[in-house]
Amino acid sequence: MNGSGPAPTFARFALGRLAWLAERLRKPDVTEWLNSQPKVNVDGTTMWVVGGDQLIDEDEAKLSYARSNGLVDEQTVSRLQAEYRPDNPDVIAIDAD
Amino acid sequence: MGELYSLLKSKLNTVQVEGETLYVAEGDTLLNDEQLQIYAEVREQENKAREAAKKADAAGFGTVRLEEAPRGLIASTRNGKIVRWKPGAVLGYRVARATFAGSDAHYQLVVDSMHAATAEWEQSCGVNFEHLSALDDRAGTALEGALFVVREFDAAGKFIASSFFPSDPVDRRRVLIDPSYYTTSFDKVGVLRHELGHVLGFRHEHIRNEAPPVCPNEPLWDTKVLTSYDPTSVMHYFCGGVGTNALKISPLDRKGAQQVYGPPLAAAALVDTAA
Repeated sequence: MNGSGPAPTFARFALGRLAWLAERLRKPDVTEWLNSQPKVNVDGTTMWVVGGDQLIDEDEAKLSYARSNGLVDEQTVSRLQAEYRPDNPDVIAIDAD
Repeated sequence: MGELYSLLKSKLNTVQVEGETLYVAEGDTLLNDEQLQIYAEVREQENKAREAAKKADAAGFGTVRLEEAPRGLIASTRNGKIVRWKPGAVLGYRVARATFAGSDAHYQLVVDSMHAATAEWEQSCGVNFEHLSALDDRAGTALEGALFVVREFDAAGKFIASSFFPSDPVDRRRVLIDPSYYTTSFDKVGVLRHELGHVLGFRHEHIRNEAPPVCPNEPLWDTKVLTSYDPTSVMHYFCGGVGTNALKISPLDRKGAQQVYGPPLAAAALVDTAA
């Protein structure tokens, strides 16, 4: 997979925890979908263009596919988000309300 | 079934929760099919009331104003919390001169446009950008101590410019400028105002259910709706007859941005001095 770097994305973390989902996302329907989406190569890493101006890596594209197609439920995603500890000292999370 | 129900049913993003398909309305509201029907009926009644009020206004016998929440913007979230830069963070950036295909004019255009765009965000909410120009002539595209790098990148027109969110990994902190930027009909400062909106953590406005159906759709998960729909938002594409090429920061954008970052720092300094 692409997207390796000093700070793993949430998608990489999530797929690392959900081996069954990572396996499911290796099936041809996902590969075909990935191949059909616009992408660019930035510094040797393939990035998918979403929303016209945002770039996501393969892990993120796959997780997006999984969420869009109901391959993983949102409660599982929320649980993993609560467990995820990004190595990003420059940002904070604040209550939405 | 009503037209709006059919439209929403076809357009809204869905999620699966415990085997049930739920429709995502207004960014964070999950509705099953029955609830979606009721939601659509209520929305249709509201629309009719709004139209009636407009007619009354036009006829000169009433100034009925339905209450509309004066808010705008969608924030990027993780686990239900808004992700933002730390208070006091200096959002320092370098513009990698060597990437601009040997054109000093293009480099200078981007530098000037970034100055204008960052200044407007600083006047809108409590953020502080700094152009670390001494780093511009460093070779390569590494951060070199800056928080993010602005560089030319030939995406073959797949985008005009691209940026990142605060929650993205450090190695993705880059604003990429495609050569189409130099000839775009969009306001060039506006394009960067929009991209810097993403850098601050704001999502596209046109992905909301209230936007015209022809506007590009994106999943609304990991978002928090800060305000009511704002077709004049800097984060709204020019689509479906709304949005503009100017990509200006709207009054509702300011209100939404201040919910996340507080008032402009210059204003806060004035308050502190007065105190």
